[in-house]
Amino acid sequence: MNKRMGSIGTAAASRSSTHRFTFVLLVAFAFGLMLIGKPDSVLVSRVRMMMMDITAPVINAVSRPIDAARETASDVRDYFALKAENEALKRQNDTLLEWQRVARELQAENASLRDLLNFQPGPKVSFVTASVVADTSSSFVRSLIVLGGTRAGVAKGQAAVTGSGLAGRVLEVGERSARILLITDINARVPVVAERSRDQAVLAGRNSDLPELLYLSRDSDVKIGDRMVTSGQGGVFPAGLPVGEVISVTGGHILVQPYVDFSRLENIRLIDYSLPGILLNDLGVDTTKALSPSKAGSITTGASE
Amino acid sequence: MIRPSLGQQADIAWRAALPVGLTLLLLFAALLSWHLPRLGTIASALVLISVFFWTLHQPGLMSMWGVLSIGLVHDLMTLAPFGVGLLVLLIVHGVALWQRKALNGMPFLLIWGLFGLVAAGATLLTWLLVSFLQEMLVNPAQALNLFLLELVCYPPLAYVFAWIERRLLPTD
Repeated sequence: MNKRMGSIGTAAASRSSTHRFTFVLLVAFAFGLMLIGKPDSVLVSRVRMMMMDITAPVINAVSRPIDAARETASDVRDYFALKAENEALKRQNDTLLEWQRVARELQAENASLRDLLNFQPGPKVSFVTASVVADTSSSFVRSLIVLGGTRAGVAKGQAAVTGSGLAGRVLEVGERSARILLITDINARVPVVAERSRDQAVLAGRNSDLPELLYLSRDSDVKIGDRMVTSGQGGVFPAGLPVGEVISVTGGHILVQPYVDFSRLENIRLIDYSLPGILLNDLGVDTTKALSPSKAGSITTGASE
Repeated sequence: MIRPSLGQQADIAWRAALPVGLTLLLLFAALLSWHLPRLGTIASALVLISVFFWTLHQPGLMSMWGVLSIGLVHDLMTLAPFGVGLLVLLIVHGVALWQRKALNGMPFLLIWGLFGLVAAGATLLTWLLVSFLQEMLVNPAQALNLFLLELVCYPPLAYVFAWIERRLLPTD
């Protein structure tokens, strides 16, 4: 009997030591993954894209009812604010009509001046609009997943913008989905220029809501309230996209409040800057359908096929 | 010995998969774009709490293989340096398994306190590893934020998990 108990005890001990050994192996495996998966690894990126491609449509389908509920709630809210909003819109409409007149004048003047200078216009820019399906930000990363990949003409490096300004750039692309690295991420660097003083700088994310301006020249004249726009240097982003406004200048640290409200991103426009025309002509996808930012439907790979 | 019918087998199988499945479900639910500010950090916190709770209460159903799959999915879905989430979850699982017997029947406050310690250690480790892998010191306020979120979310989640355990899972 004792002998038998002993053998059971030995079996349990050996099971527990096997268990411990496997556990240590798994921890070592995790360490190994960390070393291979250093952020720029191609393999990890490829596996991530596959995972994203599989899950993005599912996440999108699941989020439909949530979106519907949220929209209904906001519809009800809107209904009560209708009268006030109407008046505000009328006032705004008057202002905008005035702006439209000014813009037309400027456009005509611009055209005639270009004519005088024999100016070569820059390449035409094309867009893909994609809906945001997942917010994969964490304490240490700021990123989103959008529904729209290589099939819709999305490519790595494209600028991601909303109506209010620059949101980020395309980091990884799958067939049906893409990952956007937001300008607030610690790895994001955007060459910017101050609209008023023309001071050049680099906007660096800090994983917080407010990115910081780096590499400003000593004699720069950046003040609170200055608008920062992309400078177009480096060729990733087109020049002149609004990025944010300087909100604090303290002891050499200049913080910028991005124009984009990252908590309310629903649709994002991905701008193809470097390959003009290729989206429309070569991939068989009419991206011009999604040009209007007010269009809620947005282009998705499913819709474009 | 009576062989369980197909229905019974399916019943046993889905109950056995509940802890890991629930954790993955929470992860995906937290990744949905809810358009609420600051919800982004919640995915990692939920996963950590779930792994800790189920390892403590149903170690047979939250095995290290379960933790492995949760960790891999977490690291693939979030953009954090690959492997860090997995390593931290495995360590949390190991600690919970090791302290399981000691904590059996202890008052909730004590378990919460121990979870606080584990979460603090896990967050610190994550912060160190991410800083090391990204070759720069990541803002420690973000790590503190994550830790506080984990601490605050533990009691309500533990309450829900305990309810699920009582209603749906066989006693250990």
